[in-house]
Amino acid sequence: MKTTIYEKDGSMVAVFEGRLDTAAAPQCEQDMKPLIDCAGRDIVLDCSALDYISSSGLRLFLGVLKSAKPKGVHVFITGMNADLRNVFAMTGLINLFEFKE
Amino acid sequence: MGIRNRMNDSVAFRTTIFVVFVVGLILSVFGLWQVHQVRKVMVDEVHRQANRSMDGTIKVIDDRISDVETAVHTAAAYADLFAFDDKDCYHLLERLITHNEDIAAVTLLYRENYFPSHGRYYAPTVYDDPATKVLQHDEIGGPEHDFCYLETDSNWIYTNVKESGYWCLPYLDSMSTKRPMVTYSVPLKEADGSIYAVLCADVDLMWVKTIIDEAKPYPYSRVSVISRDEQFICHPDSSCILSVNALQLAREKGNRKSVELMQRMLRWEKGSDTMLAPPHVLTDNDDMPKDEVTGNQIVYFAPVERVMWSVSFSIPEREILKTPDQLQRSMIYFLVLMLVLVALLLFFVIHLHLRPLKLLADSTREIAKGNFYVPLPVITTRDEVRHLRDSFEEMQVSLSRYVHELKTTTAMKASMESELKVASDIQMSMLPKTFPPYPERDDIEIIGQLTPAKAVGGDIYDFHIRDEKLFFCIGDVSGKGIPAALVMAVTRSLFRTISAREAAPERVMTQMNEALADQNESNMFVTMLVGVLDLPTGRMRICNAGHNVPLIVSEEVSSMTIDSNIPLGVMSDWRFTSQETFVSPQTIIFLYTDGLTEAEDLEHGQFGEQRMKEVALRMLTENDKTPNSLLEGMDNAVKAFVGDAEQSDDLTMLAIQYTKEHRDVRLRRELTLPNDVQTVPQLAQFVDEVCESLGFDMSLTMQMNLALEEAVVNVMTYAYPKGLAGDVNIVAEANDVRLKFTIIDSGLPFDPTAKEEIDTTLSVEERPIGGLGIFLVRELMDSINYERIDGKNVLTLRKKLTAIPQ
Repeated sequence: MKTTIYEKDGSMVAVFEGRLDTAAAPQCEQDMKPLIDCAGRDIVLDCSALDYISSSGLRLFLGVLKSAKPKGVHVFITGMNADLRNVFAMTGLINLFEFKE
Repeated sequence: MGIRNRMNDSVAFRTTIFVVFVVGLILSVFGLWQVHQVRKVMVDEVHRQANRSMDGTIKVIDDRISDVETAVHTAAAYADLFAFDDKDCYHLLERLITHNEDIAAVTLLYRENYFPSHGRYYAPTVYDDPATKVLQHDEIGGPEHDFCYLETDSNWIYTNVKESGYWCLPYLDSMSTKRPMVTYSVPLKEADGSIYAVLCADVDLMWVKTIIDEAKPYPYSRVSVISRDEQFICHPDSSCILSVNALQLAREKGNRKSVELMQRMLRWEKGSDTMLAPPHVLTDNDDMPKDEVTGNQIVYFAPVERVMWSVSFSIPEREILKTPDQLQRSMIYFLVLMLVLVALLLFFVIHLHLRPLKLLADSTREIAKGNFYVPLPVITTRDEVRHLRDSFEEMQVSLSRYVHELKTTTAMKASMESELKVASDIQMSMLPKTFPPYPERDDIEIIGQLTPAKAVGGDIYDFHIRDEKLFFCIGDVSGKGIPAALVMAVTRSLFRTISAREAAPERVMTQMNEALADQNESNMFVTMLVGVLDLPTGRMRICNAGHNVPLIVSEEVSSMTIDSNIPLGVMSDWRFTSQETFVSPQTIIFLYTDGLTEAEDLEHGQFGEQRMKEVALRMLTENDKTPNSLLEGMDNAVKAFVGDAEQSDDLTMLAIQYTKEHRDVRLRRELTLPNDVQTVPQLAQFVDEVCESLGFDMSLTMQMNLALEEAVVNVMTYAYPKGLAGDVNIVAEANDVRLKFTIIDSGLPFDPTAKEEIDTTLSVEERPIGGLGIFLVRELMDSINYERIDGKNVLTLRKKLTAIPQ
């Protein structure tokens, strides 16, 4: 599991690679700290290289969204494959995030 | 017909008929009595008149006969002046005939050989020749004259006339006129008293008829006079005169009464009698109109004693009663006329008075049609009809008010009924009603049936499968109808809610009891049976709250042995106990309410447990062991038993058959992990291998991975509190039908299935961070099942194989 964060066009972009399971979640949470702290910039979660996500990962995504929302920050998800998208749909999170290609 | 009926039904008609009848009856009786009185008076009057007339007639006849007697006696007194000379004697005779007009002829009959010059018989006679009206002298003595032989021996004169005068029997004149005559004879005596001659005066009796005819009281009266030798001196038929014997005539032509009458007359009695056609006054060939003398005749009779005659005359009764009959007739005419007038008047008057009633009736008919505001007829009089009209008006007002109220009430009732129907529908919809309920499952078959006694009932049955456990219940709320139905609805909700998180029946029951017993002011209670059948293992736990013990139909039929406890809602803080049993495949668990065993026939006999068991046994012997046939057989048996009796209680049956079959395990892998979430990748590898050997695609493999990770992480997190080490054993098994993961740990008792489900519709702010794990497991797997077995938590996840893997 590898998490990379960079700025692009005034947005914070987080790129996830590999399996975001319960074992990988604590490290990933650390890596995502800048997303929680940032202000005024939209966040893009790039999932095009994400193979797997469990409820621990979903919890992290939800945490980003919860901190961003009061600040008026938009959180976009891009490049998510159909299986993962299905998990989002199952849990109802698909309604909370904005999806981008 | 219609008009006649209407007439008969009309008060005016009936009253008129009645009054006319009564008045007619009274007047008729009075009239008849009056006529009768008049008749009596008339008859009395006629009687008196007739008697008087009779007396007068008798007196007149007697006077004239007496005159003849006196004249003859007077002549006899001075006869000696003339009689001794055969020529001078004519002076005597002439004087006698001249001075008495009733005497037609006078004869002096000398004793034999009194004047030898005249031979043996000398009888000088003087008679008034009716043709010339001149006195003629003649001598009628001698054999050439009948006179001497009138009475066989001429001596009679001397013997009969010895003392004084003698009236002979009437006879017919020997002359051509043949008139009835009678002779009065007086002896002429010499100084020594010897009779030398007899002075005879012949009296023409034609005047008798004249006198009687004049004296008869009615024009149609008949008269007759009978002499002492029973001959007619006078008779309406002149041919009868002195030729017919009256008594013989009566015997021949008359009836018994007329014979009696004749006998009385010949005894010279005076009197009267009534009879039909007495022959002595009525004959066939008299010259009077016959129609006037038909019917009864009143005959008056009296004797003329001097000559021993009997005078009689008859009066037709009809003649007497002519006047009263006329009176009667005119009275009848008058009566009829009067009755007709009274009837018309009465009918008119009653009709006039009843007219308002008819109008009122018309209004009533209008009101009956529903037109409550029709105006009533105006009645100006202040009589009973007005009173009726006023009362009617009051009735009209209250009727319209009442109908209005009734309409409101009916509408309310209708809405209540429709609500009741809705309630019944809602209640029925609460019950599982699609059978078979789990067509996709091959381990369970269920059928249930509830027949409420009233529209809504107090019985309940329910079942659902959660985490490979069948939760079922059957219950009976005390009472029937809506209150019971309400409690039933509450009970059902409680069962569903509590059994969604509790897997032990005694805990479900205990919590339901707490809820129902709390503030149970209406003191309703529920007998109930809650069971949990673990479908993978066949382990069944049942908790009974005072309900009928279920029937177990395996190879034989038996009742389950379970604690009764107490019904729900009776007492809080009761700790319910449950019993456990293993159900072998194909066994049927039959649950029922007392509506089955206590179903009553017309004689109030009960269906009973024995019959119920017999039905189950029959099904066993017929080798048709399915819940459907058991329920159907039971239903038919109850219906046949109850017959036409009304269903007294709700009847509910629930039959559950455990149909699990043993299948060969095709694949078995096992993995044991320590209590550390960092071992999750190992788990992922294990799942990948299992999925790969089953030929799952990427997508399904990812889902299995996700489900297993969530389940195992959950166990690691909650079964083993922080710092506590332990193992989690994961077994993957697959047969032809499904893949099963069994996760076993020795940690604290922890049932992840009891966790409440998350709400996926909440917004970001409301959405809790955690709780997604078990939710995802449920979503991804077909079933999740938890059992605590031998101090271990056993969590089973199943996924049906959609296609047969290679």
